[in-house]
Amino acid sequence: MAKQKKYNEPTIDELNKYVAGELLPKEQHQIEKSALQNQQIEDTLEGLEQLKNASIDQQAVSDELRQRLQKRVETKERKLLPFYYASAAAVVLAVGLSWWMVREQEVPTTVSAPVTKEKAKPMSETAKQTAIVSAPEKEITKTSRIASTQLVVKARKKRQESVIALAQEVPAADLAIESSKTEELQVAPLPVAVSTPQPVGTIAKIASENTRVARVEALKASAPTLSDETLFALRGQVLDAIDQKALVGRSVALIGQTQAVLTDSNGNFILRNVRKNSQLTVNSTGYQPAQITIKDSTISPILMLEDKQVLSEVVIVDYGKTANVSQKLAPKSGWKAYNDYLKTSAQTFITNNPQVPRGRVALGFTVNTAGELMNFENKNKANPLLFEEAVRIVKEREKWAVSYKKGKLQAEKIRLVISFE
Amino acid sequence: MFLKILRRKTNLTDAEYLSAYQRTGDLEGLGALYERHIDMVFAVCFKYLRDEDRAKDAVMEVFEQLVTDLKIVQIQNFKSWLHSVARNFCLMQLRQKKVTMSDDGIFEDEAYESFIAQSPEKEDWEIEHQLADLGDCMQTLAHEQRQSVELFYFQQLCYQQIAAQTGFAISRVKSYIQNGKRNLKLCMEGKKHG
Repeated sequence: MAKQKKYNEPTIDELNKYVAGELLPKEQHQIEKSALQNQQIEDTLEGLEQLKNASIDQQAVSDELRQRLQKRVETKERKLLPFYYASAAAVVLAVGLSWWMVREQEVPTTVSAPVTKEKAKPMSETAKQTAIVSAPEKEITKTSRIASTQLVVKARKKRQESVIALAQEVPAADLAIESSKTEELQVAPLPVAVSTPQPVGTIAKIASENTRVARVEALKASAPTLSDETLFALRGQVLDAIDQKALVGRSVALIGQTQAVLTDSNGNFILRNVRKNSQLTVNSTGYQPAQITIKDSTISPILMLEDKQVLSEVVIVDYGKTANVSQKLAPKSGWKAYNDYLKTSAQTFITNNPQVPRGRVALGFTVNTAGELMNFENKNKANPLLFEEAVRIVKEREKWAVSYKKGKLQAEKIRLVISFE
Repeated sequence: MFLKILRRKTNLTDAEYLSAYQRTGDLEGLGALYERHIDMVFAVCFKYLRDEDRAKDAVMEVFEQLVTDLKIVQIQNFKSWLHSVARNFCLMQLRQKKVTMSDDGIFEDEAYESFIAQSPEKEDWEIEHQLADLGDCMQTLAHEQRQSVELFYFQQLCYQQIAAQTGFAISRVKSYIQNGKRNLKLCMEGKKHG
């Protein structure tokens, strides 16, 4: 048996030719045979035949697919490129941002810089004038003339330098002093170097005067002032507008910020991280809300006007329900009824037990969030018998409206005085 | 870059492309390799999906599969592997679309063909034995199948010629050969074991 030729896979072109009917019978047989042998060829062949039957332009499809593939391969690359750009942009942005922030922090100092510059300018011009004035003077020696011109050059140079320094953002406060110093140094020796008649000297004097002014102003300008971005701690006090009494436990907050602070027993408060021009609000029941724009780290006491309207609008809601209303701890029946109750209870006790010593009991206790009374204390160390009776009396009528602030129940301590007299 | 691709296209074998891609992950190389076989993939996809646009999309998705798979998988014969990837992809799509297709001829075994092709390596007595078996088995085939198989394998005619000679339709000829081939294989295996 003749050895079979080594199996050769037909190419796609051959398959296409087969489908187009361009092959010789022998070649057709070869392809058919390999199709029978090889699933891949079989599938391809069938696909090509179906394409022909559906009269789909195989070449056009092929071109389109190649384009799509090329695009796909390229898009992956393009996706990589923006990554480089993005990271570069991010770095640039970060550097720019930090530069800007540094600049912002130095706002007060940079503001002072132009002042020095402006002051410096007329200064050196005066020096120039001196030179010009001195030039026509016949008594002036050549050397002195050269000296004065040199000075002008020097002054110009210095000015240039200071401008350059400005551009380089050398801390401007230092610069202000430095530049004014140099100006002074240049001008001061002028009357000495140029032994000239009066006018020149006066001009020079004026010039040096100017320098001093410039220096002072420069220093003033560079002195720390509050910029819009600096954070500081704000201290203040909240007082009643009428009797100047300190308002305790009032909430003070910045608009746009969640944190609020309460005033202490003297009505004082400290708010941290405050910016200039931020709005401060003081809210307290019974007073008209106050709003202040912050200009400095210390402010005059905030005077609160009483607001009767607000008081009348306070609504007490049921237990368990929360509302954004504050309620103070009180007996349920009200203070008047409760005081009457205490009085009569004390009275009955005395009449029933005439032998016990008389006295007053300062009774301290806590009303917890459930309205229960606990932690009784004999605050004034009264007679234990009376203290016991006082506790009994208070416990007997255990009905307290629990205090809540901003809709939150709170345990609260209270102190009652019961007199057994 | 473009020249590089051209050079690669002419010089590199599939295996070289593959190892290059596994080394560098360079998509352009993979794209060039895929372009070689893109017509085949499209034809296969069209065969199964029977829709031009779906087949086109399938071609692109198969490429995406290659991008991930080829990083891990070691492949001996890229073309046949690619064919099975494309076919499986299409079959998965059909399964998702719940389009039922008869798997007639799709999963046909190739054992018989390789058996024939590899027979020269066997001992003479074995071949003789097998030829005898083959002769017996040929007699068991249906008339049309035997005729088609004989004309195709023994006389090496193409489908067209067989159709002209026998008067069968070309598609019939093909299925006669396929079925005859399968029956022969079953018969031969039965003889071998029995």
